Amino acid sequence: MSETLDLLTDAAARLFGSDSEDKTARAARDGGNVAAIWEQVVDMGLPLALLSEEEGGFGLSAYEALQLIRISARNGAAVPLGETMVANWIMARAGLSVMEGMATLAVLPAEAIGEDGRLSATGHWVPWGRDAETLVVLAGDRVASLAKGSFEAKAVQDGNRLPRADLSIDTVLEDGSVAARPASLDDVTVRAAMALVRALEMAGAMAAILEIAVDYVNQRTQFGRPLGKFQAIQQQLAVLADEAAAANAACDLAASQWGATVPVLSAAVAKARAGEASAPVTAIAHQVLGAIGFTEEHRLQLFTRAIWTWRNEYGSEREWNRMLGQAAFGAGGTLWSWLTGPALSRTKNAGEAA
Amino acid sequence: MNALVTYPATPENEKAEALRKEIRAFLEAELAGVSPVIRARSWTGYDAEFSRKLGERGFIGMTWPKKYGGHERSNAERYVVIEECLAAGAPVAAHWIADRQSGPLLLRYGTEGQKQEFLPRIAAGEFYTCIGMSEPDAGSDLAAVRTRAEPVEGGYRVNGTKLWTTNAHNAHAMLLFCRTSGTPADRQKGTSQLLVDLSLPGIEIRPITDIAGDRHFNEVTFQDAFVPADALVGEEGNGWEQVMNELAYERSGPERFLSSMALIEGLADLLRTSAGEAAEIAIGRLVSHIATLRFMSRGVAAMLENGENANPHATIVKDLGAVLEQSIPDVARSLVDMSPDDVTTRDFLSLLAYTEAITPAFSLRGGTREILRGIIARGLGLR
Ligand SMILES: Cc1cc2nc3c(=O)[nH]c(=O)nc-3n(C[C@H](O)[C@H](O)[C@H](O)COP(=O)(O)OP(=O)(O)OC[C@H]3O[C@@H](n4cnc5c(N)ncnc54)[C@H](O)[C@@H]3O)c2cc1C
Repeated sequence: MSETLDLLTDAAARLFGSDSEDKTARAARDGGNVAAIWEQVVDMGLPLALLSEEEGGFGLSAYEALQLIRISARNGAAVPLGETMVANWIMARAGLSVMEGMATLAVLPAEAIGEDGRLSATGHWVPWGRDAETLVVLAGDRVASLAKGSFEAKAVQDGNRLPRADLSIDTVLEDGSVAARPASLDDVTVRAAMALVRALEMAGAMAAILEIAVDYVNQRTQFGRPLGKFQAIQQQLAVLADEAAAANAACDLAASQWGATVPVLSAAVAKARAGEASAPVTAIAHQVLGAIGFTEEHRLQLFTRAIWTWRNEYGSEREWNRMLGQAAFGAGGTLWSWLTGPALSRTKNAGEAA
Repeated sequence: MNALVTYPATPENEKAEALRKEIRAFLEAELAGVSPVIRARSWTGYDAEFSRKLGERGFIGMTWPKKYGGHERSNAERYVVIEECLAAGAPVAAHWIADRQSGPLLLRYGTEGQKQEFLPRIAAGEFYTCIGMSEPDAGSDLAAVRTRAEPVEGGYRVNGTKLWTTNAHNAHAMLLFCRTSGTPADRQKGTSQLLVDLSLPGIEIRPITDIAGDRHFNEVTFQDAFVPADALVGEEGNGWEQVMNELAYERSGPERFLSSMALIEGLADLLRTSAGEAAEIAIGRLVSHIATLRFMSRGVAAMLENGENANPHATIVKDLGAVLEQSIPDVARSLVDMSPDDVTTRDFLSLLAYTEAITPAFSLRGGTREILRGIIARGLGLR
């Protein structure tokens, strides 16, 4: 792993972890403002991290840049870092100008953009749709960027209180804010990119959950010893570690394959595998934390509930596993020759520049 | 990042991929016509002729120094050969243990004489070993071993019983973990390892038939067997540290999630032409698990290449792999309409029946599920 990444991950971990009382994370869930932390995200250059140096990035490989999303989630950060990184990646590919402000994206039906350049559509469940400075829209053969205020955004109730919005858009696209959509950015590819973002976030949250659970059982005493000394607890946490490790590895497989295009199949692996790990990881953590973990006050729920929302977004296990199954059957030959082929196994050198 | 939950991404290795083509072509030619039920025996299938052929082609002892008959290849290259053999269900049992653990252990702890004598023969696919750890009263609790090698003039006099010893009846030597001083109450202290020639007088090998009717493991009794002093591997009294390293070699590979590939391929073949939604989802799920485990397992190989301690990482792969493999017969059952009186699914059913019968072993051999999870818990700092 490169030295730049080490420095950057340390700095990012410090930044995202600095909020010891999870104030921003809680504010985000209450519809509050996360601008202060975003300023620091911008100072570190994170919004452009997935871009090449020519595009405005700072020369991290995609593998390295994507780690930042996981680190943010691991530290409980409530910011649209993944959305912004992917939105900028799309804008750069479409030749539109990239932004440092919070961004999000929506894939809309082809007919949303009319002949006259008018964009009118509704967008559902857009993450950070009320907060983002920029909304990147993909519709038919166009990519467009809209500034906050040029559309209406209404908060929708996420059961786990992450900021989501329904949008109604009716605006004429300005010159310079719309471009031809590159063929490589079809709907499935964009969905896979965001599925990988969510998988990385889930994996980061799982690493945090493992740490919370281990700390808790080491310190909580019952029957005269720390809970962690009981074999039943140890065996449960081993399973939690197994599943968290699998979720993280699945993400790393996909992240290491991200290059000129989104590795759709390995992103499917990441989202499906992380999604499947969600149930045992959250169940075990809540079990070992007892009643205190069932409270609003304890930070465990910031991670477990986020996972429960992320798991459903951009395709659940059912959707991505089905795609993998179809691809496997469609490939011909043995399952093994396909599994070991380029789509699911070749990884670029992790340190290689994007 | 909690180091336990991350595995290094291994860069594409052109040499290893070129090797994949070579070994695949070799396996296809060698195994043409071998039935899935036989392939499902995977690394418990014994075929000395086949092992010699692998040895001739340089596929055994791949990472060892050339001066000991090895081929100085990378771990990544070795990994490709191992996984291709497993996935194809090649009968690799004869040399498997020697290549995987006894050889590396000799390389690390053996005397120059031992290395020169045994390693070239192992690499040639001609010298087979077995694991002498378990005993009637020492299963998970390996430190409870009672087998005793009493130091005597010129060597040791060995008494005791080893149990479940895979391939003892085919092997030339056993890497025996035993007590050389003290009493069982001393636990880890006073233990040693000997590389015992199994043709010596005083050693009796009695096969035990397994649940599927196969004979691969044995009871081995030692009755005043005299073993020469040069059989000692490493240091007398250092047995525990050595045997822990041996177990780490044993647990580091992809055996655990690849020994059911024959069944998975059989299932995919059966479903391919008429796959509905449920089949697509289920096969896709297996793909997501296997692709992930491969990434992790290759990461373990990379960690070993860099001389890092991959113990807890490898243990996680093994634990997850066993859970996955044990679930596969049920996945198959939920997707395929089959009945013993239906001749079109009879072959598949017999493959399923065989795999199902051996699944309990997946979370027993090489350390039980509970023991592995205990190791992971130690990695988490709980023990
Ligand atoms: C197919 C096969 C091949 C084998 N080949 C070899 C070989 O070549 N060489 C060799 O030396 N051995 C071999 N073994 C033996 C294997 O290593 C042992 O089966 C294993 O170590 C478990 O020992 P045991 O069977 O005596 O079970 P036990 O140790 O008696 O365990 C029985 C059950 O109790 C659980 N248990 C035990 N202790 C604890 C504890 N402290 N806490 C919680 N649960 C516990 C175990 O997890 C298990 O579920 C083989 C076994 C099999 C099945």
